[in-house]
Amino acid sequence: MVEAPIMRIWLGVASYLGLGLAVLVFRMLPLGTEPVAIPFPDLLISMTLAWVARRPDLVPFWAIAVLFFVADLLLMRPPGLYTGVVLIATDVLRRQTDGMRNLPFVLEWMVIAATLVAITVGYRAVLFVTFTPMAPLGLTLLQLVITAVFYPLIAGALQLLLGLRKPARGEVDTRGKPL
Amino acid sequence: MARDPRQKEDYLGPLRRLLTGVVLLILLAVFVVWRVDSPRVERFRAAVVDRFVPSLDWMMVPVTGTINLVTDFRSYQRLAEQNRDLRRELQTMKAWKEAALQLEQENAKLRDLNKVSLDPKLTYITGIVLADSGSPFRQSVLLNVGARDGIVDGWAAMDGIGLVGRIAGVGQETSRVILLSDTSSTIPITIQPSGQRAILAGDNTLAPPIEFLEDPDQVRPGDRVVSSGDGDVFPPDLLVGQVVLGSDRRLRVRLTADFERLEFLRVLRNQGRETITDTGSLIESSQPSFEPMGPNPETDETQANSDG
Repeated sequence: MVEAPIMRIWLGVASYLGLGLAVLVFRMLPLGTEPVAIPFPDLLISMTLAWVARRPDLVPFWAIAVLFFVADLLLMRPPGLYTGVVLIATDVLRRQTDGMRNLPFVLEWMVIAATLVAITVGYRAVLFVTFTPMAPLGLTLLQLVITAVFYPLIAGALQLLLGLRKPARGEVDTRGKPL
Repeated sequence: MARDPRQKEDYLGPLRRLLTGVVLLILLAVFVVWRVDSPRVERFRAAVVDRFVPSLDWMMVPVTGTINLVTDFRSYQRLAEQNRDLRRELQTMKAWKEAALQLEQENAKLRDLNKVSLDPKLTYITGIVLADSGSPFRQSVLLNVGARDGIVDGWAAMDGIGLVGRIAGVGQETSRVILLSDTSSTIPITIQPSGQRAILAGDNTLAPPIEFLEDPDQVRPGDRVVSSGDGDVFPPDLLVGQVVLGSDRRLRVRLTADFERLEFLRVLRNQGRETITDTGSLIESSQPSFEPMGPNPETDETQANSDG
C-alpha cells in the first residue's frame, strides 16, 4: 500500500458525497409523478447512518451538512431544519461508535432504528412548535418503518460494493495509526 | 488503547465543537428566516434549483430514457392483448368522433350567430418536465421554462386535456409546478351542470376531495369539474376532472390529466382580468384628457414645504 492515508480519507468522503448526490438525482427522476401509497425507503439517511456507524472518519461533519442542505433545497423541505436534526443525531451516534464496535449486527440495527425515530420525532416536534405545515403523520411513520426495515439491505449493499465495514479491533491504517 | 487516537487529536476537539455549533446555528438561522420571510428564501431555493437541475440533465435524461424503455418493453409483451383492446376502444371512439364533429359544427354555427369572440389572450408556453419533487410527501414537478420565457408565479399548467397544477416558484430557466394532488394545493372549482362553486384541496392522492360545497345533494358522481375564475387564481373553464364518490363517502374529483407520466406541460399565460374598481369612471368623456391622474404634484410639494 503506497497511497497516502489522507488520500484514502478524501476518497472515502468523495464516494460518500458522490453516492449521496446520485441517490438524490435518482429520486428526482420524473418517472412516476402520481402520489404513492407506499413510500420508498429514505436511502439518503440510512446510507449516512450506516457510514457514521461504521467509518465515522470518512464522513466529516461538513459533508453531511452540505449533502443534506442541498437535499433540503431540492426536495422542497423547510431549509436547514432537517439538516440540523440529522447533524445532531449523527454527532451523538459518532460518539457511540467506539462502544458499538463489538456489537452484533442486530444491535447495530436497533441503534440505527432508534436514531431514525429520534430524527423523525425531533424534526416533527420543531415543525409542530413553529406551526409549519407538515406531511401526513401516517405516511411519515410508514416511511420511517420501511427505512428501518430496509437498513440491513442498504448496509449490506454498501459493504459489498464499497467495502464499508467496521474496522476490526487493533486494525491500523497505512501510517500505523490505530483506527 | 482504543481511545488513543482521540486523545492524540484532542487539541482539535474544542475547535471542532465550536465549528459544529456555528454550523448548527447557521442552519437554525436559515430555518427561522425561512419561517419568518419565506418568499425570499424560496427565491433563493428557486435559484439553487435553477443552477443545479439543468446541469444534471446529461445524467438524468439517459437514465430516465432507459427506465422508460424497460417499462415500455414490459408493455410490449402484452402487445397482442393491448392491440385487441385498442381496436375495441377505437370503435367506440369513432362513434364519439362523429358526435364531436357534429357538435363542433353546431357550436361554430351558434358562435357565429352570437358573434362570440374567444379570449385571444389565452395563449400558452409548453415546457418539458425535468424532475419531480423526489419526496413522497410533496407533489410537484420542475419544468424547463422559467422567467426567461416569461413565466409568472400563479399561472395554470395543463397537460393536453386537463389541469395539472399551478406555477409556484420561478427560476431563470426552470419553474416548479405544484400539482393538484399536493397537500398545499387548493383551487376554486365549479361543478358543471349545477354550477356550484367549491374548493378542491389536494391530499396526496390522485382523487382530491371537494371542500366547502354548499349543497352536496345537487352534485352527482360523473359531473364535470372545471376551474372557476374566482379570486383570479385561474382562468375559468379549464377542465379539472369528474366527480366520484370516494370509499370514505366523500365527494372527490378524479383528475382528467394523466398524472402517471407527465412529460410535457402547457403553461397558460394569464394576464388577469381587468377589474372595475370605481363606479365614477365608467362614464367618461370621449376626448382624451392630458391632466395628470393622481393628486397634483405641485400642490403636494407646497404642502410638504409648509409642513416642514
